[in-house]
Amino acid sequence: MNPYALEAAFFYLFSAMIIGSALLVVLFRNIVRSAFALFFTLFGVAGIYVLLGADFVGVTQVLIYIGGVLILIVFGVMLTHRSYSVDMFNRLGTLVMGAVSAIVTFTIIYYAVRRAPWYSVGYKPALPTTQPIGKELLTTYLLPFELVSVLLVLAMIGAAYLIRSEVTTARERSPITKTGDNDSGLTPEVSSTGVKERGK
Amino acid sequence: MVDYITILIYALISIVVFAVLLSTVAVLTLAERRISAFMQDRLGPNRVGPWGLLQPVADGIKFIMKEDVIPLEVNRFLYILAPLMTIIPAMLAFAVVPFGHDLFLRGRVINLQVANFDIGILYIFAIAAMGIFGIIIGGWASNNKYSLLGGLRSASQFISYEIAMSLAVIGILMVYGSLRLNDIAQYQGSLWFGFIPKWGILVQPLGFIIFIVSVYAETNRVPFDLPEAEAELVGGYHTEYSSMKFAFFFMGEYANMITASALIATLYFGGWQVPYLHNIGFIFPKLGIFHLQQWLVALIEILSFAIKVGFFLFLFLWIRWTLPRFRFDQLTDLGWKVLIPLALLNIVVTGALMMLRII
Repeated sequence: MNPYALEAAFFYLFSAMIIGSALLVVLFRNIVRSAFALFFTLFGVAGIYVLLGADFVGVTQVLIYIGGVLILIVFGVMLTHRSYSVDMFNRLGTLVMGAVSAIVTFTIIYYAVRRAPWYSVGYKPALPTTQPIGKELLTTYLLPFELVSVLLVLAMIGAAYLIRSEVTTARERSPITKTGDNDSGLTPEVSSTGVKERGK
Repeated sequence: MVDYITILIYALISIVVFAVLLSTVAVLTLAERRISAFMQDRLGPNRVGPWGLLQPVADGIKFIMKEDVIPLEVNRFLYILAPLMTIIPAMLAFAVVPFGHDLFLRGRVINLQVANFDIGILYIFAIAAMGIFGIIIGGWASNNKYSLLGGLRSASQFISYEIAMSLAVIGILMVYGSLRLNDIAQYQGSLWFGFIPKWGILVQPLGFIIFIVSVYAETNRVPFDLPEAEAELVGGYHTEYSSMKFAFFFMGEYANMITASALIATLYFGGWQVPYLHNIGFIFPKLGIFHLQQWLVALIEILSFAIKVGFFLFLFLWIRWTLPRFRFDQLTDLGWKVLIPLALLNIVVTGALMMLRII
């Protein structure tokens, strides 16, 4: 059997999966269904990566986007009050703007693809990629790698600050809670906001 | 040129692994009931077949014959898809677990595992994350407050333990220098100070404790079975499920337990390794060599792997019927405030010991 034919078949399968589910993400009116359709979009992208021989990137895609981002999205959506009955349909104005930006983006990508010098590497069995990626990250691309880490730490500090500041004001407002013997850290006793005092 | 015989051999291996996995799930359902009964001074199901061994068959027939209720108010599509999204990843995750030495067969090297990926352990983590998604979606699609709470708890539980679990494994990856589970198992056969097998539990004791706690949370087992806490949430995420769909959730949980036990055995207890056993036979330092046939060695290794996995499966049951359940905020506290800092400490200590060439 021609290996190219099999590869092409899988490519079109994954592409159809990505495009179809991405359309569903936009078109579903229910936000949880959108999140679920996003699962197939992200999985399809991982499939394309694996098809290209980038197994590490593919699995990381599943691990981070499905295991991290998507579960957090679903978690957030479920926690939001009555979000699963909200009608998510966009008005006409945003539809026009969306169409314009979609066409512009597509045009840019189309010309980029047309002008790029493509070359074929022929049919090769997939080689291990994990070790080269690790080596490159810690040698050639060390600075960008560390900069991304700094960025992520900043994001974490920002997120923690947003949560903590709210808790502190609640504690300051509450006349009952004592700040001295609070050893639980993240969730101090905030009786004014309805959270019960922890048993001591 | 495609080597059809190799493909055939691996197809055979995957069928055998699948069959063994499914029958272990069946035996586990019985073992859980029998062992819990013994721990509570009861007999447990002992009527169907000798020692109740045919009980899983009876259960299976019962599950298939039961009416398959789909409640009116559920989201039909996701409701039907959720059990599949739980059991399929659970079955897939076992594919990268090795259970024996490479075999040499007329010029071919046969790995005793379904797929020897370069990314090995990352694959298991990724697939496990997909399984959690099935539980969350099942909880939401059921349109039941208990199910929804179960699904929510599953999501919050996942973000509590996942980081700690991955960080704990980084210690192992640093010591053995590979993501491939077969390589990790292979390196654990090397000797430390000339006579101690370099098993993961000896070089990564702290990492082992963090990993085993996280794995109990991952498989939704007591003390972390919050998504289905039957005393609080009726049945949790599978409250609305009946018949074979319920059985799929159940089988998914047991299959996850098997993969988790296999992972604990492979990462920290030498996998298929038997101390001093190499592919030509036993080699004892300063004592000599006992030559063994390749097939005999493979058999001993598979047996050793099965015994290790069996022990950790028993540990799962043992703990289930011994410990009480955590509260979900306690689990999040444990994950973020205890396990993650400890896992980071483990990485630093491992790095220092590797610099000093002790590990």
